[in-house]
Amino acid sequence: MRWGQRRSFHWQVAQSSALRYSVFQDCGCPALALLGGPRNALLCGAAHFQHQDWLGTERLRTTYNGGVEGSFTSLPFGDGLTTASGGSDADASHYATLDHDYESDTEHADFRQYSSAQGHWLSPDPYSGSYDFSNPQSFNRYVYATNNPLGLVDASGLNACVDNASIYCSLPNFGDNDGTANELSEGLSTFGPSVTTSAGIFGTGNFTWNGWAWVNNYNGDEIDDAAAEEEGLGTPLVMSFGPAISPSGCSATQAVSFIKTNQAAAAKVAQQLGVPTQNVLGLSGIESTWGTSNAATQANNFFGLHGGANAPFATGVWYTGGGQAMSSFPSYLASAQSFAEQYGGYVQGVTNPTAFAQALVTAGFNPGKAPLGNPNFVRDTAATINATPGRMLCP
Amino acid sequence: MSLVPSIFLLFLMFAASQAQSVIVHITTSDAVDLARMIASDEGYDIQNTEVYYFDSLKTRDGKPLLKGYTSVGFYIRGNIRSSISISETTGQAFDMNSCEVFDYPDLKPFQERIAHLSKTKRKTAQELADDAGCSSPKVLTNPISLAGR
Repeated sequence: MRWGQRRSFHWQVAQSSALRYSVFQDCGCPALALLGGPRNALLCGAAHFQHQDWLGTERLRTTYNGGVEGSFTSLPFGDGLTTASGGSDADASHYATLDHDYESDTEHADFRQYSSAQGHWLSPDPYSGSYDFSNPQSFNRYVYATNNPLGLVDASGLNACVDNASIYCSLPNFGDNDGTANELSEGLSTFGPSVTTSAGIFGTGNFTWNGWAWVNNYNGDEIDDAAAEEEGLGTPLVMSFGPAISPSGCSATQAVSFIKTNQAAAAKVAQQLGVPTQNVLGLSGIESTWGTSNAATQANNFFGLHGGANAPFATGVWYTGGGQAMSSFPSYLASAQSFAEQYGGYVQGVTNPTAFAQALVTAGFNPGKAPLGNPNFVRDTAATINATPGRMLCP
Repeated sequence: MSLVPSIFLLFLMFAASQAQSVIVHITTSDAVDLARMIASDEGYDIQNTEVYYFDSLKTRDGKPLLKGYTSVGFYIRGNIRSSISISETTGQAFDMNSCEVFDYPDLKPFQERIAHLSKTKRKTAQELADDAGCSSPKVLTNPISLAGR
């Protein structure tokens, strides 16, 4: 840390509370600025304790022994900021946790720029899902937090909600915007089941909403602000969903049934491979024609795996109509695990469907050309994978 | 409502019921024959039975892959190359995974026979795709030479 940099610490009173406390120190010494490096980082000044209101706006700053350094007042939309008690506006986010830009005198949100001086957003709400016919204020696309700045906050520029410190406010308005923990689960029907977090430790994959947090299907880790804080990732944890997905391809009832039956097992293997569940489901869907191939119905071989009884997780050999030895498995999961064991080295972390299929051609899973393979293997496999999320949402 | 329009309406309903299409049972043997023609049109030497073979596609409990269709798998060394679904009212065939409609000339006689028996008009490619739950169907009309692949 060099001269002029600030060391900041933040913590929450309670995980679900918007009340957060922050401490900052201005670090480094002008006389030692040329030295830089770690030694200069040790020269941090006195700590300043920041006290925010329930919206995250700093209202009071104190020293380590409780002496008041400054107090701050502003109007509901953040306009009319004044300081008293000798304080100066040194907070990096002086309105509702939005990051203040001193050059333009505006605030950064994830998706829009806010002007606290004017008290409204500088661009209309880009999230069409925030229209709420029961709330006319939602039709004013520039208004902050549906014109309720004392009760709601909007850290992203997409979603007005009650609790700025929780992950719900990091996300678009998925549910009925009642500020409850079911905002996310309410949105599950309109958004894809695949969730990616900003935190690499949680990986990419499928998560299940358990009523209060997203749970990693593979290792059971809960994903919330507390976990992110513990891992030093900062809060609020940013989670992103895939593009909005609606049910599609539902007339293929066997494909839909196949997906529902095998989704949980596919998710386990997908997590192991670091790929979306639809990659595993789609591949097995096309390789077994949704569980109707003779290898699938007679040998639980959903990936067209050869190798007989010697293949990983195989329990026996099964012969095709042409006399080829294929593997027999006890279940879909075993078949998928065998696929992962044999081809995981090629597809590990390859999330893009086309790249995933191309990697399988490289691996020799399918020759990718006639006369011994499918010249359209990459195209067809990618298309099947891409169609799978829509089918996952079919009733 | 006067009597004349009511009678006319009844007639229309009767006529509609008479025009209802009939589902034609396509035997597995017929379906495999058609699938063999398609695989051949796709450029594969289907005489090599150690490499290429065909089998019906059904669930473990005998349900069809797609309702209203008889489906056959075209296998290469045990791996599915194409899943060919044949309409039980029009005889038209497609692959639900590639969303390709097979409309090769040598399939016409079979399709016309099925359509004649079922008294059903041919479906459009989009209608077939809707049945299969796929989008952007491609209609294949020209047989492919394996040498050109």
